[in-house]
Amino acid sequence: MKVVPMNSENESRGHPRAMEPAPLHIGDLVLKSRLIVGTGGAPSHQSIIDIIKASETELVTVAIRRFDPTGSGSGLFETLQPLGVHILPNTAGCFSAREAVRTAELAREALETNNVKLEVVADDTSLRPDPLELVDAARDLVARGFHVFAYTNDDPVLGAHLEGVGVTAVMPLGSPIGSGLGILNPSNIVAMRNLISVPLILDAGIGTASDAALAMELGCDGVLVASAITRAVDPIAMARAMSLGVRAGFEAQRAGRIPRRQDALASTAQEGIAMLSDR
Amino acid sequence: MTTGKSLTESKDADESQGLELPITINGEPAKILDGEVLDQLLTRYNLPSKGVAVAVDGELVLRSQWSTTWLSPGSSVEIVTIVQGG
Repeated sequence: MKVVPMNSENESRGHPRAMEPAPLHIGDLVLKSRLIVGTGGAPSHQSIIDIIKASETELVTVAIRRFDPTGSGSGLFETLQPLGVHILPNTAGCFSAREAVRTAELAREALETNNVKLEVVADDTSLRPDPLELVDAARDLVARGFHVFAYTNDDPVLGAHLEGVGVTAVMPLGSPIGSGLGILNPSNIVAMRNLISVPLILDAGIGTASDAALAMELGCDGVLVASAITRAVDPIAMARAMSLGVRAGFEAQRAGRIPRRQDALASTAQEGIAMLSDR
Repeated sequence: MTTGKSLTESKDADESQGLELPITINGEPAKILDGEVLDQLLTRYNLPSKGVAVAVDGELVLRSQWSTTWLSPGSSVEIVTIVQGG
């Protein structure tokens, strides 16, 4: 069954159907939506359900933390399971390759998935990836059979090294996690796209839908958004906006933008203009 | 952690081999009876059948190995699950 993620409201109004979205093949996953949603920061489990539905995402990230035996109500796992989305555990909070690998092993046991979003950060202020620990961890995890989605700096050379050790996806930041500053160095993202063959996912710093669209226009294969949705004034509306932004950017990239030029270029022909005054 | 108290109140505590060993569970002091395996310890925590994993001294212990894993005095047990994250 081919499901086209179009808003049924738009369909009924007879809006023209956009280009058939090409699915994203990433590791052993085939995703119709190119938007990956992080659950961090969502105000409630119900809001997570609503965000997932509004965003039409099929892949959501979670973190690994201590189990609370006194916790009341159902856990996040029980919330996500009925939705049929793939779960991508992360190694958020890890500062060394050793910690990250151990966290990934726990995640694989808990979720029965080889997929892991690898985060190894240098400090808890900038949350910038530590490149040396990151590559070490990625190499080790690949050897252990993981499909590594590597959160990385927007450094093309580092991205190429990660691809070289066998990661499944390279996920550069646009700007620091949770900052909402958007893509601070678009030319680096383009350079990464030109250098790296595995899926490229813009992973951090998205603030609003136009940032997500830009990421796709720069050649990314997908966008991961957490805070920009979960901490928006209206998270559900922003989830929908991000979905549209990713699609718009993807289609614009495929459509091919016009080249930039310094001078104007009239779209209206000069030929046949009436003579109405002296020139 | 309140559940830690129940560990010292185990009905097996009076048995002759029931020497109590100090360990930590998720950073909290706890006790386990000498000879008990990890599986017996974890039954007190009412863990769900899916979505959790356990490490001892930093290393993952597969669920299939819980019944054959003995703890040492001072062992650090970490029980983890998934939570919201980006």
